[in-house]
Amino acid sequence: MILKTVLITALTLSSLMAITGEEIAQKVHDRDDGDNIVSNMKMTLIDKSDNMRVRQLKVFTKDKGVDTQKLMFFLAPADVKNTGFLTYDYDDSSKDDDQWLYLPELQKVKRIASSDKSSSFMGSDFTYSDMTKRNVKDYTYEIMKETMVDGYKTWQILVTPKSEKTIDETGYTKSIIFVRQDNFVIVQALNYIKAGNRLKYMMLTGLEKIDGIWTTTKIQMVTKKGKQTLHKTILEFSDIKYNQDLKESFFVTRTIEKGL
Amino acid sequence: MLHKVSIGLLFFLTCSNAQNIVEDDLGGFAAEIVKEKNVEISDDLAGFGEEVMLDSSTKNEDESIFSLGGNLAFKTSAGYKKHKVDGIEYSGINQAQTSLFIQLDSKLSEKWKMRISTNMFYDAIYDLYSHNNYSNDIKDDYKTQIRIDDAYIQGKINSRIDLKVGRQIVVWGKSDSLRVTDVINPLDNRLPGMTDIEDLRLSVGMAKLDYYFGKWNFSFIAIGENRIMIEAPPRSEFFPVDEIFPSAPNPFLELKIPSNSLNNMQYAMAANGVFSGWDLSFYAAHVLDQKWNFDNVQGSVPLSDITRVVNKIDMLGTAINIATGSWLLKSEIAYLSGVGYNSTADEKNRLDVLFGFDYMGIKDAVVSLEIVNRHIFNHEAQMRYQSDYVDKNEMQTALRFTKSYSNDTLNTSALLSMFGSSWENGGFARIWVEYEIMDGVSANVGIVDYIGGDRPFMEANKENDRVFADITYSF
Repeated sequence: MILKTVLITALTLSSLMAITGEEIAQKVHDRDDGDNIVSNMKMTLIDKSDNMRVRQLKVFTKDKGVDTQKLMFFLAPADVKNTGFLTYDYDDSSKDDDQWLYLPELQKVKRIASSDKSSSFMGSDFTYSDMTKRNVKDYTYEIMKETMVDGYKTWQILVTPKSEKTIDETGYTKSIIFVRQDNFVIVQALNYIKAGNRLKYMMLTGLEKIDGIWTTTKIQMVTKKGKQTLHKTILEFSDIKYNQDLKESFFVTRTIEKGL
Repeated sequence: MLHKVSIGLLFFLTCSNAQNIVEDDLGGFAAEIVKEKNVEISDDLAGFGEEVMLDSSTKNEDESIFSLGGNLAFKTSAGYKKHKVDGIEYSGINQAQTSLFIQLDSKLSEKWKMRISTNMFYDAIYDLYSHNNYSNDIKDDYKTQIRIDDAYIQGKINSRIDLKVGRQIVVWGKSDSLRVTDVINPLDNRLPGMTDIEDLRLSVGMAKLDYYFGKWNFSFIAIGENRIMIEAPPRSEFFPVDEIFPSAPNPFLELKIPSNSLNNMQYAMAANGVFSGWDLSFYAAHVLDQKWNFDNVQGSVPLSDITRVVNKIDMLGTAINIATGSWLLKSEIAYLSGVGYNSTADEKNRLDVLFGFDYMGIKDAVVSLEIVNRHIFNHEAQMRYQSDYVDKNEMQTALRFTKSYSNDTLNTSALLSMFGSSWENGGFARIWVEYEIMDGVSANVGIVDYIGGDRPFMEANKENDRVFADITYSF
């Protein structure tokens, strides 16, 4: 028994030592992040004068094979209430995602050309690219070192886009990510923005295991220019429920047009 | 050897420098950790707010059947050029309007909901400048309003069928600035050029049944309310009748409002397909036209005996949009029959064709171009002049640019809408900036320039330029 334990430990350590950056990225991508998810999202926007704006959203997420479908409804504030956003996030990077936006004042569902994901998501520091999974094959990965983040051992990895197309699409020239070695969750990321000589710092400040799934409950994105903080966004997720009865027929333009 | 050493040293220094830069950049996390504590403090304080929100949520849960929202706004504008119509000078401040929009939503059951909304305003300028002796028509249209907009019940009959009954807006087509197949709802065009289409549509009483089948949605609509467009009253600041129709009678020609009856219903149907990367729609409608025309123009009828009517027209149309890269390409085609004109004895058929695109490849910005050509079949020579002023081919161009700044707190927009193949007929340009002061409170400032041209309506309004501002509280 002792010999077996030693052997397993040795093999595990050996495996971890030999793992490549791309393999880590693939594990991050493939990590079980749940399916048929319903949650509430609170988006707090903080400017450099510490003025706050708050958005409340209801989020529905469903996996469709390797693709992901997501529905978001704005609940507050009043001037964006009932705004709906529907996205089909295709894993195949050669295929543009489908995105639709419903604006109550238009009373119309409008398609969005989604090739450029570098624009701000609803005024936040997150881009549309940040809100979707990235295709592992579009990047190269270099393990810079192993380091500790909040008491957890992580890999520090330099992520570089392979093509100008990916840079244009995401708005980032490169990123440095910190992946926890025990669960393959990205807990920090530094994104170099192509335009404006700015950096974006992502920090996972709330992580819980819900129904056996590592779940982000709080995440922060800060945009900086040099040492100056330009803007900050905090996303908080609550009432997170997995394996809800979300049918594929729910993720259609009919739903965002009709509202909750 | 020295050269090799130098290269090696340079490489080492470069790597060291790059590493130092990275380390400096990564130091930003530490700074944020410190600031996170500040945020935590704020979060602690915000906890009170959250508790209040929770209380509100609790109240909402108890009262979840009803939801009341809306906005309160103050709007003002000022003409910066001399613009005199019917003896009234409209330069200087010409609007001081307080408006209130209220919307009541009720979730009647899991599948059914109800909405009622109302739009009210009072413009103090008509009392402040009462010495101008505004006509009753002008005061009726511009001074006060209490109007029911949406008033409907909607629900899901089953997994494939939705029903919506009452006063409502149905938007057809893929374009945003110009209308081709969007014929269901008339427009409120009392202030042309001042507002976007989404704020112009008038709700209409109808029953709409939607059937969903795979990627297709089929709509069947029966319209019982024969509501027509609202436009600037004759001899108001935007409708200087005497410059457009010389020798026009006073009061101007009566506009007959169509009656509501089972024999005078409007009907429409649509088929909408939503696919990966593209959408396709087909439309058919028997509805009221979006403009009036003179009634029964036969021979030499005295102008004073003519009335204005709104014809029923038939429309067959299609619309498509295709998302490719950062481009959203759009096109609409509509064939309209039964279109009435002022100077012809017979009705005309017309083919409207629109092409356009939205370009979303500029960060946080959208560039939109739409061009429509309206071809009138069996066009008659006199239609080019009074009282129709239309060519065989009427072209209109709308160019729009919008960009967001400062995380959507500042939104800038510019719109140029011109008539004629070379823009020779005139149009307008509007530039405006919206600033979000705080959650639920926004301010808007802008300028409208009316551009004169070969069309009398445009030429008559070319001095009606103005700056405008408003502040809105949404609740």
